[in-house]
Amino acid sequence: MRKGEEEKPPFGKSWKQWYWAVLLVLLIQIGVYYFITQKYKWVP
Amino acid sequence: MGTLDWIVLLGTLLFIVVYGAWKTRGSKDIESYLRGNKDRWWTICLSIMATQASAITFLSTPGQAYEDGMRFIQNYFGLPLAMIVISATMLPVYYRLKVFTAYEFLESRFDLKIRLLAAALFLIQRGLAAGITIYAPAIVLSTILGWSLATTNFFIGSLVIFYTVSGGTRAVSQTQKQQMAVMMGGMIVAGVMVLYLMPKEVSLGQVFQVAGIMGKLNLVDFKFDLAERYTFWSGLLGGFFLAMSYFGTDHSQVARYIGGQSVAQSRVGLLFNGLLKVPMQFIILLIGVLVFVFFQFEKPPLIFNPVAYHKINTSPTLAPVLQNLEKAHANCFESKIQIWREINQEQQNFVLSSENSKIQKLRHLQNQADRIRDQALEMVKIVDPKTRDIDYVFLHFVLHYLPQGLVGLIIAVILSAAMSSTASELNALASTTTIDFYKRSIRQKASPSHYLWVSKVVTFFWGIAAILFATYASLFENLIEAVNILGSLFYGTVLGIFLIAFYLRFVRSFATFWAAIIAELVVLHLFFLRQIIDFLFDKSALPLYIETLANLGYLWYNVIGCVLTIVFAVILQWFYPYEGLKKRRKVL
Repeated sequence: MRKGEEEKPPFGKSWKQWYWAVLLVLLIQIGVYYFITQKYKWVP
Repeated sequence: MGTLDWIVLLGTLLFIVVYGAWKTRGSKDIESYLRGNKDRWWTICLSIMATQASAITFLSTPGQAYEDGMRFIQNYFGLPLAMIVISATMLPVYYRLKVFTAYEFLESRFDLKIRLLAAALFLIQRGLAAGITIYAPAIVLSTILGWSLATTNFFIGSLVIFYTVSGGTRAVSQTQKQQMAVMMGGMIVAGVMVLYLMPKEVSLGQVFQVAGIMGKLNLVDFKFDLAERYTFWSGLLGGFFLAMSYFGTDHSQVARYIGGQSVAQSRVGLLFNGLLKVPMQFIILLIGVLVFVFFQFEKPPLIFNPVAYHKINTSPTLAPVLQNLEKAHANCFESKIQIWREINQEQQNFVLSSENSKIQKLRHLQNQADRIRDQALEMVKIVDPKTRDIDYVFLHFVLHYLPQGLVGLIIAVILSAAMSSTASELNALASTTTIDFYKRSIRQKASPSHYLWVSKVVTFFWGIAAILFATYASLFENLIEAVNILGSLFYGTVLGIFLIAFYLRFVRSFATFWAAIIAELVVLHLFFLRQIIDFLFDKSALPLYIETLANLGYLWYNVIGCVLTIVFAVILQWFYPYEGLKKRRKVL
């Protein structure tokens, strides 16, 4: 086994928290982009 | 381009190349030359991003937003999910086996023939793509810089060969840090400049209002419609599928993260790519939209490609048509600018309401201008069929409106992007050729210095092949299209093999190998179905589904190849459960 494989993730969090954080950031971005789309949408 | 631009351009590029080569000089074995030098997460993240960001990203993406709005961003929504799956499942296996290439893992999981099959498919596909990575920006930049296509190819290719041969993977990662800094810095400067150049009475909020009225802020579309090219669902599913195959199995990306300091460092590098990629694409697309808004108040050219424009303008048959279209286009613009002025005078707050009849008139005029431009682009197709006019939109803005020095910086951004992705490709091609073929099948026991020497020679060979391919690419009709199709013909099968290897542990080498061969044959038959039908059958007697299959878009071959490989492998494993069992090596 390569040295450091069991190394803890940086900033002392678990990997699960990292994955959730990436998902959360994606969801927030989609929310912001959806908000921009709706706010500036042109309805004839 | 002025003198200052040339100083900035050549200074930036030469500094990156010389510094990268000097800093990574003296590799003594293939461990550091092909696997890298135990990079930290930020180097891995920047290297992954720089590999994916080719010159066409910076040339085409703003142009695409200019024409089609920002909906292209949805294609990247699946990427962060793929980063999570690769980080959690594929990355630890690559580390545990200490592989040099992604295909080495396949021998551990299955056997040699599957490894060589996947490696050969990669060499064919990526070897041709490396030429296109140079050719695509060179054909645009050669018209702007006033160089011949061959000179531009040679300039990009020789700089890349110099540092990639000299320092290998370490040089690729080292230079990509600086190249990525130049790319992001240059694009942010371009974004700030386009805002600065807007008319003084138009605020940032109003810029967004104008973009929205013209339908350019169409970022997210939740409608489920298979006929629509970009929707939230196709972006999430298709994007996830593509990102899994590109980042998980394509060695030009795998090589970027298997040489990290530890699993944790590589994992954070991949996850940060998942965090940053979507915002990065947002910024690039937003710049295209800002350029569009800028050209609402500044007269845009009818055709952005200067060479195509010149050819049409000097053609005795096309020139009169062009002049008429230009007049109509100019009239549209004058009418639009008049309405903008009236709106500005009438409304102190410049509030744009969709009920306003003036806004409706503006939309109508924009549609009219788009139709005129479409007619002009038909003429471009006749005189210059190998180029797309949207690739010149951003460059036109840069060359005509940015001050001296910044023009050189933006050209440096585009060349840096071309070099960073080409370097990764050459490095991955060399690794696969040396490790999967030469070291495994030709000469298994030789000194480290011998393999190092072979790696350097092979990198040089692939670099020369890429330059030659880029130079002669224009001689063949529809070559780029053919290369794209070729990629799609094999990508699905390779992804299928890797997905079986990682997630279907009960499927063994015999079933996987023959499933891949059968799936590939089916994909090739689908590709040639049109010719087979025309040769053998009466077209009118064929059922509709056969016609549909014959007209299938080539991107679907990725999905079909992958799904068929998995399905056939599971069926074969069911019927031949003990076949190839003795040969399996229990490494995993």
